Amino acid sequence: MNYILHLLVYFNIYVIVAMSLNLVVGYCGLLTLAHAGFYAIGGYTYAILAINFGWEFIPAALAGAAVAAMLSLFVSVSAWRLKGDYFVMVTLAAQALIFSLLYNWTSPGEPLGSLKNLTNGPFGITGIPRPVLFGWRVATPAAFAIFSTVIAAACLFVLWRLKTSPWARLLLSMREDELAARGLGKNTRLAKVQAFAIASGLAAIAGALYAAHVRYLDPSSASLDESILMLSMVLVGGLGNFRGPALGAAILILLPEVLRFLHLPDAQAANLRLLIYGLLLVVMVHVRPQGLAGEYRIQ
Amino acid sequence: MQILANGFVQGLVIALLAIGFNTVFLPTKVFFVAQAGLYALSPFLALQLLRWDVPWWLAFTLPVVISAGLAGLMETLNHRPLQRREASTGVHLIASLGLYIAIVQIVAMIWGNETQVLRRGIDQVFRPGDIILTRSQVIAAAVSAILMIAYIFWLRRTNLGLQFRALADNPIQLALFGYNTDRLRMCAFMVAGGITACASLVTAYDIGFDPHGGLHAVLLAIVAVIIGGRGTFVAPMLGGILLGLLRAQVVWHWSARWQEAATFALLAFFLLFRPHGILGRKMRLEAE
Amino acid sequence: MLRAEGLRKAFGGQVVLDGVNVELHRGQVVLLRGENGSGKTTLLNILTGNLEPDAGSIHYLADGSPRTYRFPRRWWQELNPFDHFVPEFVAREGMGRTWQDVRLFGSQTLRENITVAEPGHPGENPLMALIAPARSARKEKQLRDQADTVLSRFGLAGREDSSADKISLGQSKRVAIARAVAAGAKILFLDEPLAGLDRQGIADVLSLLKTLVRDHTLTLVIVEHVFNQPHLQGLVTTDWLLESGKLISSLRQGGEQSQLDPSLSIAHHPSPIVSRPAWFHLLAGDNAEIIDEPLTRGALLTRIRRPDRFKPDNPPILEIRDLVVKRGPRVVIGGESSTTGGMNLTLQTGEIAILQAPNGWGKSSLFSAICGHIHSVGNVLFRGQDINLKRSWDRARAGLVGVGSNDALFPSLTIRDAASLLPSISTTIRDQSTSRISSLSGGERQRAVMHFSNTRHTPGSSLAIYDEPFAMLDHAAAIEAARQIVNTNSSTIFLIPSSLAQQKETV
Repeated sequence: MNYILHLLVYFNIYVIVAMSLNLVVGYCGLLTLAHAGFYAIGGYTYAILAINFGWEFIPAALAGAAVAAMLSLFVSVSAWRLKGDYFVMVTLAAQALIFSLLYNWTSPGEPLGSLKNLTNGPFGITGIPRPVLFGWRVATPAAFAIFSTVIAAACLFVLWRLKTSPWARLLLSMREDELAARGLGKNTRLAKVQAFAIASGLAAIAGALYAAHVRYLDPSSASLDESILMLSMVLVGGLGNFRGPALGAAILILLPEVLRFLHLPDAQAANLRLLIYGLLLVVMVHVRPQGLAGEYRIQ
Repeated sequence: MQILANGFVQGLVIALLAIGFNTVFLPTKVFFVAQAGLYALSPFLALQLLRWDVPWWLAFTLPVVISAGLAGLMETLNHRPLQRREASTGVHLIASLGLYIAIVQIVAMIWGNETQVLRRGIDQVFRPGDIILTRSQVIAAAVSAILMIAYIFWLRRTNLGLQFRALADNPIQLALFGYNTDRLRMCAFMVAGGITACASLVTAYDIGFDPHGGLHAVLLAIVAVIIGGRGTFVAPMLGGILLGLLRAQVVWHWSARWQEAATFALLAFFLLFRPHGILGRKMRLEAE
Repeated sequence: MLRAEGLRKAFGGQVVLDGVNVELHRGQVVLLRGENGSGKTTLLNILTGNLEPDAGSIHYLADGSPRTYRFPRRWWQELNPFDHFVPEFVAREGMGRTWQDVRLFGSQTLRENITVAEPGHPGENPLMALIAPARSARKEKQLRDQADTVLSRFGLAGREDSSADKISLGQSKRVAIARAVAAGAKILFLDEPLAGLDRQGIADVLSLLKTLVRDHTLTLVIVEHVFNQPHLQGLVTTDWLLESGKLISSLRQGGEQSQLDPSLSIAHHPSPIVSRPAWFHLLAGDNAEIIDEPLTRGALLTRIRRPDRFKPDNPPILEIRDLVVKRGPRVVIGGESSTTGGMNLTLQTGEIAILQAPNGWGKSSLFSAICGHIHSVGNVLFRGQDINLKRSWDRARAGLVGVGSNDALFPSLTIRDAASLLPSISTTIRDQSTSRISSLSGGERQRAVMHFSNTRHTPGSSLAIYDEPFAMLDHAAAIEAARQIVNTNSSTIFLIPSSLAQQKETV
């Protein structure tokens, strides 16, 4: 039972991640590899605020979202000028920088969360407290599953409102022909900043959820592998609509669980899982470039 | 001086890998990330061959051949079909990324995730002047330099090199001249595969290797290409050497752990303010 | 409404605009003329904020709050992201534009294409969309009704829900104009609004433009190809002529044709193109049989059968049957209507054939399809063999000599390098053999192209196809190119010139 609840929490986390990533990749047509960085920033912000200052979940997660949204400016402002491979490289640089910061912002002997030792470096942060919601501590797995579902539902509601709004139509116009959209007086640069800020903020909330669930966080959650996993979800599921990323998140979470029944050693299982992600990417690109349930092919 | 020497050696290897990357990128516009998979694979092949008591010269040349072959296979089975469908560069990138992940995971499943070494015992040391170079460093520098000179010679003086430059300029026109551009593309991939394996083997001989280091090495190479300028075949060499020197300086003045931050900050700087690189000719980035 | 002074723009040392002054008043309809490469598009791009001039100033006075940009801009002006010279800010000053290739948002419906243009929509602020969806929805409903009215007035009633990439070119041009007007354009820059349209399409767009000028007192600046310019007679009030970097403005007398070369008054001729420039006569020589053959959408195939080349019992060398070429979702060639199917074309050995067609007809696509660069459906028979599944180099080796336009050589190679890619090297262009191709002038490049192509013909049995052989050439260079073409060894020659118009406007 706990196993199923655990899977549900994972699904909730990654559904937020995939949907928010879809906002950037599917709606703006901008391929990014920096998403895991913002996700990790959310997790770290939550962990530090909860440990050091005893913040409740919602304000801490929102603070993480704000930090991630601010940092996303680095990526979105680059998107004003850069396109295609160049832009992918910037997102890769952003991801590497965030990872490097999380990995290196440490000095032995200093207390965790101080300016000298913000992240505890490669050892990560342990003992992250369970989330507190209006004074009530979410303690049991069942409660956490419900809690994560509510958070995910709230995030999805936000995304749904946005995606049915004229703002989403503006993003789609920009994706199809940015110059034409600008010629109509549309401030596409602002739209890119907004889309990245919202997507990164939501990813940060998912990261906070992850930190609260696993109660341990290290820089690997900002790694390139994590970004690639996220990208695989939207690419396998499909871009540009609502069901695609959800489907992708479900498939990529359930797939490794199926592998469990093969009873491989742990390290082998992890490798096999990634191997399947990699092959899935290649196969999808050839067989179904728009993803299983998507409406848009990446340009 | 010691720092400059270390940086220069590292820079030469990065430059070699950068050339490999640009050999594919310029003519085909494919962002060949799967190169990182070949980079990870080749030292393990060498290790396995050495375990089977294959003579050392064969153990170091066979992986180069295999890597070139695999690169050719990737072009045939992956990029060429995508090219026929006029797929965008993003699609090529994703497919290549997928191949990279697959190769690395297969390597890890066969040989394990641990760091390995090719060299046994303590390395011989040379002391020209007041600097210290290990024998493996000298080998790395010599192999990289020789390969790069050979590469430039091949590009400038041979017919195939000329066809290559023409392919990078205008593949359609070259096809109109009656040249089989598919075969040339294939050639590009194979050359890149071979160069990658060489760079990987000399690095592995010097400092050891694990299955996951490939992407990092190739990212450095890509950074070198962007810094140098990706409009020409030669500029990445300059970028690679500069990058090697910079990284050595960072280690000296701060700490090894800020190397990555410095590298990618430099990349961001170049992309935003000088996207055509040091030697690159100015071109319009925004396709308008 | 718009004033610009001393605009200068140079591309890599080549001065395109050299102190251009512009003044526009309400209700004016300007025809911007000038030969190819004279900077028409550059001026359009500058005035609409797509391109920054090197020097000069632009004053936008169309709406209440005038705005002035001076160039060159200081670096600290770039620090303020709300003060950039970019298309979106210029568009808000009432400048609208359409593109030659239309650029509708293809995956959206026509109605959405219009409603998306509305400036200052509250729902385009994500925060407003989140907390006040009702307000956005109200506005949206009102906009949809407006869009439907606009569409029906533009003759597109009932097509509101069609996807924008499923309508005809003429319809999409009208939607593009409607979209620009909906975005609040007071001055509308039209880049070849009539290109690629049939007579009905031209009439529809023209009547739309007339309505806009009359009812909305819109100001228009039109760039149009010469052979479509006569259609604009009666609409245009002012001519701008761009010549060697300067702009000469002249008022046009109502209804008279004095401003235009009388030979251009072919507006009512059934086929839009009948003119024959000097190179044509050189190709034709004396006593050749000349056959004009109209094709779909205003194109014309002219066959020249010179007695020294053409024998009546010659077999066909190229047969195109049922050819359909697609670019993305759009059909470029073939399938004009559901009944006609693909395109058909046959060339006999020994002919010199010239395909003249309006811009946007798909000439370059046809060239690419025959040479095998792009995928096409149908049959292409070369000397009786279907080559449509063969790759482009196999076609080249079989004797199909495709000659690309002169901007499509190898820019970073030298002439000598490029020449050594070919079997034989001759001496005619040795004087520049070590300079890079990118540094050559258009005429020199054209000479190189001709030279390269000439070494590739196999005498007697090959077919040479030329894509835009006379582009960017002046009179003498065009004659020289034609002489080279007629002296090739290929038995059959197929020319696809970009448009006959350019040569004429240089006269």
